[in-house]
Amino acid sequence: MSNIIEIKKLVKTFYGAGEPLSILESLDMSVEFGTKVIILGESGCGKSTLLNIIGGLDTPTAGIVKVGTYDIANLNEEQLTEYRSSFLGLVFQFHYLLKDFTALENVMLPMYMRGASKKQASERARQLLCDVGLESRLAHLPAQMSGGERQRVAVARALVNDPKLILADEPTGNLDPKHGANISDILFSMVEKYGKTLVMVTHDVSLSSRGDISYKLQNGQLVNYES
Amino acid sequence: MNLKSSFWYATKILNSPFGKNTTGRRSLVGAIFCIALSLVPLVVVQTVADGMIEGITSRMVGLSSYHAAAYLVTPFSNNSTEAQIAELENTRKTLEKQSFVQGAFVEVSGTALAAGKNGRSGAQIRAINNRLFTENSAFLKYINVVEGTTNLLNSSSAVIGKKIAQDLGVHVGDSIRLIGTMTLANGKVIPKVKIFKISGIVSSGYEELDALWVFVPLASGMAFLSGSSSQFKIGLEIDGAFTNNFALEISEIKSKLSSNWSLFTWSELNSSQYENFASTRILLLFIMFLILLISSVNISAAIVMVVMERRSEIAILKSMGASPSGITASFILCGTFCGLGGVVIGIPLGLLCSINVNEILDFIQKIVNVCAKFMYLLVGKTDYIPVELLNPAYYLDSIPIHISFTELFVIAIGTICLSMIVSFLPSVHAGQEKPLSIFRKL
Repeated sequence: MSNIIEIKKLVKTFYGAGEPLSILESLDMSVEFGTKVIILGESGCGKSTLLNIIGGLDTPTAGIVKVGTYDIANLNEEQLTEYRSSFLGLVFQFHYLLKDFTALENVMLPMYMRGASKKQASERARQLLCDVGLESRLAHLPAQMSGGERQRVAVARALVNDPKLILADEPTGNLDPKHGANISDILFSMVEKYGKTLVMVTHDVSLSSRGDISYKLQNGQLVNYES
Repeated sequence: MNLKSSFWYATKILNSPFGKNTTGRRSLVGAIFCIALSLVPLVVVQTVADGMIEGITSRMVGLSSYHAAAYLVTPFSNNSTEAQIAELENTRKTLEKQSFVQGAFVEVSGTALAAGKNGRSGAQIRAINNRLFTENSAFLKYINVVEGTTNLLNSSSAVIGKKIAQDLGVHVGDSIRLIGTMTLANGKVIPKVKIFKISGIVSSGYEELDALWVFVPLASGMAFLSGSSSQFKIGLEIDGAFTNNFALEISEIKSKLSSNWSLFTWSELNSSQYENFASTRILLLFIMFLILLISSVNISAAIVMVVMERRSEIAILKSMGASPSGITASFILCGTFCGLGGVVIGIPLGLLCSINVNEILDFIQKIVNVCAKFMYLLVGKTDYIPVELLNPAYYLDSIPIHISFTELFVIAIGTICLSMIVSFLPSVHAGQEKPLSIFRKL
């Protein structure tokens, strides 16, 4: 099976007023298509930075980051836009839904932005929202939904463009354990159902068993995690 | 992000309900009203200026200079008034034979001093045939009979302008003395007085034009006015005076005139006034445009507010694959919609004000006078002279409006384009936002 993510000698250093801060040091990582990767680590260890680099939201200081056919470090704005809209689905710790859009519209929007018709986007969004159990909340605004429901909408939105890769950055971090577990179940089942590759970073060690591979990020390097 | 999704997002921004954190949307609504309010004076100036210029120039052309006028440039060979009238009439008839000449009117004009019951005034003597009032279309259209009749009943009848009648303190049936000069054979100049009885008082609606008018019968006028200081002319009403054919018609008329006559067109006779009106109009419109420009800065400020307020959404959209140009387009569309909203409210409001401009001015004038009079009474003064917002000496009695839908369309499109332009910079800035730097601050 070929790799969807190929990272070699990735370095990320933050330059601020004080000493430069190295977060990722010569990090290597390979992820095969269709696998579920869990990355654990303490706060500030660089989990989100790694995910942001894979997601094209941040740039590496050095190293090679190849996702699919995309060489992330060398993408221009137009290629980044194409990469994010067609190849990637992002789920954040906070739902980040658009407040003036209903649940259905929030899920529709990425597909509509890519050029699908409103009808096509609406049908797909409706199906995904049914998959995450929100068929009765289609016309609700984010403000009219609970935290768990909003996060379920965010999961559906991440999948609407049929991306190859889902990046989830602490998707349950803002929820209570019960709703967190529920979101995890939904996310893993959706990834399973639609055959996606998942890279999830989390504090929650209990999730390590849900992935095909689990890593721990420490000292800027990925090491295999054994529960 | 394609244009239709940018459009969708823009409409969501504009339709966002008012809440605690909607300063941006409030700013957008404020900007719409600013644009609308600044369009009101622009539309009023445009319609009123056009109407005023059209009203004044059509009166000047119709009642004073005619479409064209043939002026006698060499003195008559015969000193007899009857012979001179006959010669003038012959020329008039020759010109009137032209198919495109609607009417030709003999007029001899000069200046004199008029004296009435209450005072004296300079007077512009216009010696005419009675048919000027009954056959000239401009006179029929614009001359308003204030008192009496326009019929010059006998050789000593006179029809005078409203302003001069007021200055002299005369009414129909009263007499006025016209005081002119006469040059004797030995070169000595002596005064010459003739009494006329007022048969009518008229107004053209434009006081500057009719303030000194004294119409008298042609023969009496010619006998009274000294030949050397008076002008003999034949005024012409011409079909197509404002078309491209006019030059051709003028050259045809010239060919019918003897060398004693010079022909001048309405544009030659009034060119300085037209240039004056046109430059005043452009200046006024320019000032109004500056007001609009300043108002449109509100749109720019409102877009800045909206962008600041929606930075998190911009980051979300970018992380979902929205292009910088798509986000820029969304905010430009917001600004454009604001301009459109301003146009939709402002132009009808401006037209409404234009249509009722006379009533609005009367109302403001009354309010100003009531307040000023009250202030006078408060300080114990009683010699209050009412204020006139528009001095009738320089403006038409009633302000006409001329609605040019082409110009309104240009104003509307210009405003929308201006809104688009002023939205450009903050919108581009929105498109260039880096999602990660925003997410880190959330």
